[in-house]
This record gives sequence, C-alpha cells and structure tokens, in this order.
Amino acid sequence: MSKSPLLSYIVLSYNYERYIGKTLRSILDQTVQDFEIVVVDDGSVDNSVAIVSSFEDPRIRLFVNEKNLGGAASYNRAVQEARGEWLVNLDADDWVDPRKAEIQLEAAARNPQLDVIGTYVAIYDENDNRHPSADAMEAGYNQPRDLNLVDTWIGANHLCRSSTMVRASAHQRIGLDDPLMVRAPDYELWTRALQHGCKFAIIPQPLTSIRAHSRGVTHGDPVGTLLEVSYAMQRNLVPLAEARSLLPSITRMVAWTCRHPSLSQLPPLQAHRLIGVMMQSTAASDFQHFRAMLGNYSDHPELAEIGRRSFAFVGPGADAYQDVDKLHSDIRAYIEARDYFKGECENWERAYRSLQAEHQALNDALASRGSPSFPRRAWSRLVRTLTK
Amino acid sequence: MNSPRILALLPFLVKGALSIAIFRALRARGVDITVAYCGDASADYEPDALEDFASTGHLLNLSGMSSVTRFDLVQELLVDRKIDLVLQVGATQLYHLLPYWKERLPALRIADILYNEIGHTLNHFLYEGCFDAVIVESDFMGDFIRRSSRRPDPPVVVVRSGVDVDDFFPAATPPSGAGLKVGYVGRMSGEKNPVGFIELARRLASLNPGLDFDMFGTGPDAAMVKERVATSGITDRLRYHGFVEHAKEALHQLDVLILPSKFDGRPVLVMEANACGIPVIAAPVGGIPELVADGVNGFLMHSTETERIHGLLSRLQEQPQALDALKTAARAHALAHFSREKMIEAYGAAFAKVALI
Repeated sequence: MSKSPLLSYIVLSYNYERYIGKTLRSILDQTVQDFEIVVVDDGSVDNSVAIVSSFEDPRIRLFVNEKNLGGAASYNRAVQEARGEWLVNLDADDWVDPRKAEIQLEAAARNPQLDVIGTYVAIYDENDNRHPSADAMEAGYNQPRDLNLVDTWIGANHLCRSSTMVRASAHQRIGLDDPLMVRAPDYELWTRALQHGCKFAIIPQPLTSIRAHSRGVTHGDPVGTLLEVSYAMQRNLVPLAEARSLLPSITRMVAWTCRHPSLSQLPPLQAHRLIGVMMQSTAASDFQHFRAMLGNYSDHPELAEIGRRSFAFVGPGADAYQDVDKLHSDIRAYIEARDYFKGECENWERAYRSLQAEHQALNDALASRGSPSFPRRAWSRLVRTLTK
Repeated sequence: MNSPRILALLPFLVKGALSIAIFRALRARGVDITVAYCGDASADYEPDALEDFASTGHLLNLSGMSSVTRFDLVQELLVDRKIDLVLQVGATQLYHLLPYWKERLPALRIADILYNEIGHTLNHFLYEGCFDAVIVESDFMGDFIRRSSRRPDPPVVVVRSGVDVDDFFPAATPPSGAGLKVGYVGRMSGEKNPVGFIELARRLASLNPGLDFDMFGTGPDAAMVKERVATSGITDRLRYHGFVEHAKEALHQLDVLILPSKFDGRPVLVMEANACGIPVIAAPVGGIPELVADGVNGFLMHSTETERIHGLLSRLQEQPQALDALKTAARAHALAHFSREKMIEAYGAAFAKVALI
C-alpha cells in the first residue's frame, strides 16, 4: 500500500454492525483502487470492530476510540490519521456506486480549483428498501444548486457529507470539526470552507446511497439544530456576506433565526440575545464561545435589546411579512377567481353554441317543411340557459 | 360589581377552546365581551362560528386584512364600544399593534393571557411594556414571567383554571377486561410526548403481563405514533384509537392516566381525568406539580422512571381497594380544587380588577 495514497476514505463507525460490511465492500469494489480506508470506531458495543477486522485488506486502518467521543471528535481523529491527497467521506451505514471516485476525480481534473465535490444521493431505509419518503428527502440534495453562493447555505445544508470528497490540503487550511457540536458540525465545516475560499461542486448523479433512520441525530433536537446552524451562519456566513457586500443575505440569515419554529422554546432572554449575537459584527470564535455569549446575560446586556429590535423588524409579526403573506393569499384568491370565471365563460359559450346549432337545425327543418311558425321553445330554452 | 367592557383578540376560533368557554360563561353573566379574530384554522381544528356573539354584534372578523385595516377597525371599535379592557389571547398578528392602541387611548387596559412558556412569549416580552396584566394559570408560569421580564415587577395575575365537573364524571362501570388499563389521552405532538408513553408501555409490558395500554387523540404526530405502535412489538396490548369526540369517552376506559409531557402549563387533562375519578401519573414539569398532590389525586413521576411506575401499578393491581380509594380521592380532589364555576368567577374578578372597575 502506498504511504500517500490518492484517496483516504473516512468511515466513522458506531454500532452499525448490520451495515458496515456493505459500506467497506462498496469501497473495495471501486474502479479507482489507489486508496486507504481510515475507520474510526467510536466505542461500538456491537460487533462492528470484529467485522471491520475480518476484512483482510492492508489498506484498511482501524482506530478504536477508548471511549465514546462523538461524531465530530471521531471525524477529527480520522482526518488527522488520513494520508491521502483527497479525503473521501462515507458513513458506516451508507454505500457508493463503483464509479463514484472515478467520476469525482474526473470532475476535479476538469476543474482543478475544486476542493469539495459531492454527488446526488439515493435514500434507503433500514432494510435496504427505497425510503417511503425518498422523493421528498432527496429533493434536499438532488437539485442543481450553486454551493459557491452564500444564499445557498442560509439555514440549509444541501451537501451530504457521505457523498463528499475533500482536497486534503484545503481541509488543512480550514481546520477540523468543532468537537462540541452535535447537530450540525458538517454544516459548520462547509460554511467555514466557503468562507476560506474553497470551491464546491456536486456531481448530478446519485452515486451515494444513504440510509435514513427513523431517529436521525439532526431531527431529535430542533433547538440544538437551531443554535448550531445559527452559530455557523454567524461565524462563517455573516462575515463572508459582509466581505462580498451581500447585506440582504445577512438580513435573510437573521430572519431565518427569527422565524425558526423552535426559537420560542429558548428562554425569551436567550432567544433575544441569540438574534442580537446574529446582528453583531464580532464573530464567535467557536461554539462554546457562542453559547457563552447567549447564556451570560450580564455580559453585553445590549445584545438582548438589539435582538428584540431586530425581531420586531424581521420576525414573523413584522408588518412587511404580514403584508407579504396577505399579498400571497390575495394572489391565490385572484387566481382562483380568474380560473372559475374562465371555466364559467367556456361553459356559457359551449351552451350558446350548442343551442345556436339546435336553433339552426330547427330552422332548417321548418324551412324545408315550409312552415312560417317560429321555434319558440328553442328560443325560450336559450334564454333560460343564458340567464341561469 | 360593575363589569368591564372587554375586547378579546384571538388568532382563530376553535371549538372547545378554554378561552371561548370562559368568555361565553361571562357573557351569560352579563359581561359585555366582543371577540375579534384574525384568521381561519378550520383545516387543523374544528371551528366555532361563535354565532351567539355574532347575533348581538359582538364578533369582529379581521381575517385577510392588512395590518393598517385591522388597526383602524379595532381602534374604531375600542372607541365606539368604550372598551375598558383588551385581552390578548394569542393573536400573534396583533401583538405589534397593541402599544399603538394604548398610545392613542391611554386609559385602555391591556392584559396578555399566556398558557405556557413557549409560543407567544417571545412576542409578549417584545411588547411587554404595554401590558397592565399578564394572566397565567399557574405559579410556575408566574415565576417564568418574573424571571424573563425586563420589568422589575411584572403585573402577574394567577387565575387557576378548572373543568366542568358535572360534564366529567366517573364511569358507571369500571373498564372491562382483566388487566389494569393504563392510557395516554391527548394531542399527538412533541411536547406531550406520546412516544415517551409508547416506550414506557414497551418496558412495562415486559415487566408486567397484567397491564393493557390504550392511546387516544390526534395531532401533528398522529401518523408517526400509529407507526410506532404498529412496530412496538406489543400490538396485542397497546392500541391506538385515534380521535375521540369527548375526552371522557377515553378516560372512562382507563384505570390510570399517564401524562408524560416534556413541558406543560396547567394541562386540563389532569383535571378532567380526576373529575372522571381517574388518578394520574404525571411528569413533574411546568405547572403539573401544582395540580398533582403526590399520592392524593395522582403521582409525580417521569415516564422514564420505569421501576417506580412498575412498582406503583403492581401495587394498585394487587390491592383493588387501594385503586378504588385512589379513584374516589381523585374525584373528591377535582370537586374541591378544579371547579369550573370558581374559575369563571376568578376570571371575572381578575378582569374587573385589571380594568380598574
């Protein structure tokens, strides 16, 4: 095995004995074979470690955490152990198409500026069946989007980590995951990469198959997700938007936080301080610092005031938003009315034409019989129909 | 005692809403109450057309209007009707207008009615300076308001809610079947934690073969709950019955009610269950400890405390007379503490006091 392989697969393992064999086989079956696989097991209590060890391939390097460190810290360990030119992420319950790395490397060759390359995904359930909500879930990833734009990242992560290949030198420049983050460390890493000038691309083919479990980490704690996503925006996206003069994007970020359905689950003062922190120009240094800014009420008390005022500007109750909501519902009502009357007009016209034809036929018949009398019944029917 | 002329601001009109029941009861006692509402939620809730209010010109429909139009219409009504007291009952879209009415009509009193600590509280604290009273149902909520307020002494008024103890009465016959009937009744939504009940049922089922579990209610998580029940592995003993017309239909089928809430204000279900003679095992969160006297009308336990709940239910199973005594005590507690009549009186008195009449 090469000491500096082209690719370092990063497989984070935690109690996925059911799946990790398939994950590793899908790597071993790749058309590009110059790789190592760095497996970091985060203290699995099932047979995951034994299954990984049963693969007798020297390219697999297994590291077992002595105690459970969490996803972000495990990822950092893997990144530090990896020796390849590219770091290729693949979670221990997912698998990839045999040509995935080949196609991603072709894209990198065509555009050497690229640092992070993802792919579209296919979503499966725990039993390898297509997930019942796959269409809706895949729409979050499988759309043509430009990940190099700040707006693409506001409150949303459209890049599936398991699909990504990251240039190792770029990763070194942007740094590791924030080990205190649980819900959105990937999102924070990607937005930090964007801020550091990394270039993103997504291969529009579903080369990565991921598994959606009934209890995913991200959906388990919406307040935690709100805090971590807000932090990542405050730390990475706000300064970038400022540097690019994208001020309306900053408004959109603050509005995203103000309008998040879980904001009201925070203590009110903390919620207002959160918005205040989003508005201030000093970026948090890390997530712990960010949490401290929210929680230390006596430190910079003006943050709550700034937050309250901003909430009144862009929160759900702000006049502008209420007017837009009303405008949208008015437009819907006008379109409904338009369609209704269009349909009615067509009905009237059809009724008129058919009676006109009937009238003509009766006239013709009467003319051929030479009767002078007028077809009164047809006329009265026409009048009835048109005035109904 | 003179009663104030009131304008109540509601987001929409929902059948069975506590606030509407209170306004109706006060109206029957001669209080002049106009209700204004901002929209339609008939897609999610069964509406109450409030025809009784409409028939006397005491209903104002503000749906589909711009803020400016709403402001003018309400302002006109405040002046024409000589309104003394505005009650904000969750009309999110009107919060930001309240201080402007107050600025124009300084004698107007405004009270916010807050049932729990999430939802409208962000708006409340944004505009709290314009409120003459914050009406809450529990000391827990009162403390929350004091803790979160920027005012040195926010005008908290605690009015304890109740239920109709004549409408909620004990079942004539105990639930059928050999096992002890343990149930969840309520909205299927995250804060009420129906999943916590399913998980508890699974753990208890393996410890005690003599327990049966029933779930009643609907809500945003209904489909997920149905699926969880279907895959629980105990479908012979855990059943999900869905929507019930009246909570007592569900309560009458139970021996013990479990309330596994993650957070809650003053859940009406505890009072309804007690009025039906059903003791509760309720999580000690929010205002629940103020409702449950441990060992009298129920027990304070988290749904994760499997061993304690198992021990308690086993004892009630082994000693039917203890269960019967508990049921009788629950009903007596409801009659003494959860009377709707007292609640109506307390609201009437609170409104008059806030309106300085």
